[in-house]
Amino acid sequence: MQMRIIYICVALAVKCSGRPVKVVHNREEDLVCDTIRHPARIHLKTGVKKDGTITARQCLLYLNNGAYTHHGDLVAGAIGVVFSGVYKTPHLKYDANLVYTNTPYGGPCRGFGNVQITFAVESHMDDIAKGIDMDPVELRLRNAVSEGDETARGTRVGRCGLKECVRRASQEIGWELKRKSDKAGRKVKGVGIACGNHWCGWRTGFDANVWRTGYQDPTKLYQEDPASPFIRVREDGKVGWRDYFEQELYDSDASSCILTVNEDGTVIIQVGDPEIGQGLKTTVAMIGAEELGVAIEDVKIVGVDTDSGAFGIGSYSSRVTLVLGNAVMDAARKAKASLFDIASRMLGVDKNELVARNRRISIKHDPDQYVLLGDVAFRAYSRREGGELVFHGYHDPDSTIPDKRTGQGTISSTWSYFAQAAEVEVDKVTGEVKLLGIRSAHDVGRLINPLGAEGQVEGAVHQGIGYTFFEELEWQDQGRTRNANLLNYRIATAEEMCPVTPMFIETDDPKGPFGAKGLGEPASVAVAPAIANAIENAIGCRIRKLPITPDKILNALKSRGKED
Amino acid sequence: MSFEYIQAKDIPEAVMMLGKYGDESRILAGGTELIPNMRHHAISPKILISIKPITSLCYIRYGENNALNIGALTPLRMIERSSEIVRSHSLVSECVRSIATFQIKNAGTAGGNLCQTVKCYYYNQSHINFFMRQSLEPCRQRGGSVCHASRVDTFNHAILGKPANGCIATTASDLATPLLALNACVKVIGSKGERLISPEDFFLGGGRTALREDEIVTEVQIPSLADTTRSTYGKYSQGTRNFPILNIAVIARLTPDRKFCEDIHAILGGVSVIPLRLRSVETQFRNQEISSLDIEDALRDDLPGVRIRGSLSEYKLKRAKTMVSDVIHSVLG
Repeated sequence: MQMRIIYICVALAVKCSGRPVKVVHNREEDLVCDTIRHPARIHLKTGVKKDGTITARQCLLYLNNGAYTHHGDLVAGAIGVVFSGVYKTPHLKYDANLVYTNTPYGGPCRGFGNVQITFAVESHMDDIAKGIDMDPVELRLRNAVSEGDETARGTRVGRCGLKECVRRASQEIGWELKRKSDKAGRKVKGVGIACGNHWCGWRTGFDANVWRTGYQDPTKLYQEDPASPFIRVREDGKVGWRDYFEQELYDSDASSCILTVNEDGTVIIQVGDPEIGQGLKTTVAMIGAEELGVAIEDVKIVGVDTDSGAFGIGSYSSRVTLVLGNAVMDAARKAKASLFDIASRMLGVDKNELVARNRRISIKHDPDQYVLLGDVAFRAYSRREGGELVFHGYHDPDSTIPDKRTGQGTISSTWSYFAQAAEVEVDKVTGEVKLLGIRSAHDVGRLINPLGAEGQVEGAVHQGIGYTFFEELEWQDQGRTRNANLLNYRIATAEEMCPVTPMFIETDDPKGPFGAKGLGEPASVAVAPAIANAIENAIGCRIRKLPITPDKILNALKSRGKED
Repeated sequence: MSFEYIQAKDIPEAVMMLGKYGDESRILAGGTELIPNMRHHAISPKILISIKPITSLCYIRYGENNALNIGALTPLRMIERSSEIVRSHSLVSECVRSIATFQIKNAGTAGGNLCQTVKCYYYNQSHINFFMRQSLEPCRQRGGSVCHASRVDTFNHAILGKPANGCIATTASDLATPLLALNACVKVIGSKGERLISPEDFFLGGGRTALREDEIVTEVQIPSLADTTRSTYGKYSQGTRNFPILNIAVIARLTPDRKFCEDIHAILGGVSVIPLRLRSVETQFRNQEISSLDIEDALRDDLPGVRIRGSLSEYKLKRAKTMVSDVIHSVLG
């Protein structure tokens, strides 16, 4: 299912050499034979009434899997999931084809398929708006899902700020005025908008036996490894899985943590999901500190390696703030209950009367009466009737595994919503596009770490600018990467960045810790369609293939010239 | 990658060492081009002759008739920062400003910039990895018999004119284009003595120069410009710090009332293997009234169709025409 050969190679090299092993891919190897985002070709068809109401949608997807499958099937499934979640669509058909080719193999890349489908769907929405002569913002607001709606996949929409996101992003970009601005001359300006949804966690439903053995079919495993401990040869000679190892689905999206309150009142939280630069350590520490009433510097996050930490499915699918955050809340609540038990004896009041703030446990209606949290913790350790203050936190969201055939199910317990608006200036003679600004509005439930959230959005937009304008692997006919260096495979640098305004809409999601939901991937998703729609607004030509390069713009202008 | 490193303390010693070790050796100056190429295994010299100790080659000064002389080991950043050059030869300043990053310009030298090999994604691939090496036949630059780039529609290579030694990579030196426009000279020294080479003869395309095996570049000489001269440099690259896809240098001498163009030099880099002199533009515009000039018409002869029809080549041609027209307008306007 996954390309894990490299891990096996490293393990073997360690065993053989008896020394620590480090594997380094140079940039060329990285660009020639490592994972890439799955390229996609997407056909869309939408039934829409004159008033803009969507009645039915159909999507046919071809996904370039590359030479090996590495989450390709899951990306294809995920695309179907997000496809159904943005607009109210009573009838929906989705077909995905995963195609093996000789190109580098595809893998999940920030957005997990959402980037591909959102570019297609949001470009298509503007086409629809043009076709029925309606304002694109109005069309989106008319069809956007809101709380309580049920999507075609049977997902009940929870707390949802999608419409608010669309309104805010369009207002901030100056939609009304700039949309209808003068489009004559060599350099013309335009604005565009795109929106979307994204999961916060994912109940994958992997085949557990495939995950553990690498095989779907026990007879195949038996052929290659007759001594496999997962195999049982029955009396009639047939090969099957051993007892208690039947076909089952991996039905968990859990994260856990181990929270220790030290005798000085500081806190150590061991987590199971890795910090990959997204700011997990800060966010999770803030959640724990807030619940326990200690300062953030009192909380130390430990993790993650094979020697320490707790269990967690991982840092992906924008799930950590929601799922791990809830697990930390769980542990912190348990810790607080224990501390309040002791404090209530110390203060002589009922524990329901207590509140934890500023490293103190005080009486709610009389804050001057308090004990230091450190003293309470010390007492727990120092007294015979005490005990160590170690608590286990666990959270598994209330999502469900989608049905394999119908797709019915809710992979995530709640969803993030967002809208991004772009303003561009297109030079009609050279085909060059200057990005003037991006407004990125996000329904984050509750903002936990404002600075970190801004960083996520700005970084994601920057990445989005890269794949919108530059990033493209060029392949020779056999699939060998031609531009295997960062001079010729261009990513966006600081010079290509434009002013970005992150905006956060707080909807206080009951599913999240303090109402928060995920923000890891959403901001990278709708950048390309927002820009493409802005270009369309400026020059009246739609670029349907990424990256948007000057030659494509000139060709589009030229062929439109012929039509005229 | 193993090599011997020796230092030359003066020019005669460097020349002597070059003569002694010949093709197995390479001159190391700034190293911003040589070291990456060695890391890519594009070249594997056995001996590196460092000329960094020859500080006498690092200078900017004005010689006879106010000609600008730049020593070969002068860092690009020093040229960029020179206020004299901004005043006397703004074209050179503008060009150097557009080259790479400060870090690279602090190390990279004027002479090194002229002697760069090709920048082509078939040549500059490491070929370290066994499977990658197996999957691509070496190109002519690497001792093979094919030019992979000539088969595809590409943006980075020459789109018209003849290949140089079977290679269609364009001259990587940013400075080549303005030096041609300025009628500069490259001074080189070898075992047989000094000689001056005009840039038209110096750049041979395909990453080669007119340098003989035991010669090194010592100086660039740029004649002074008349007060009535106006010039502009233009560059188009993928990312402003990258190598030029296209660059253009235009110098024009106008009458004081700016109505007549007495003389014009226009050089366009990036469309052919060596920078292209726009001859029709030069002949048609010389001694003409500026308001009567038609650039599109002149360019029809200088920039005919592309070698391989394709979206990228054709865009490159169109972009080149727009750039020439914009830059000439800004010089004459």
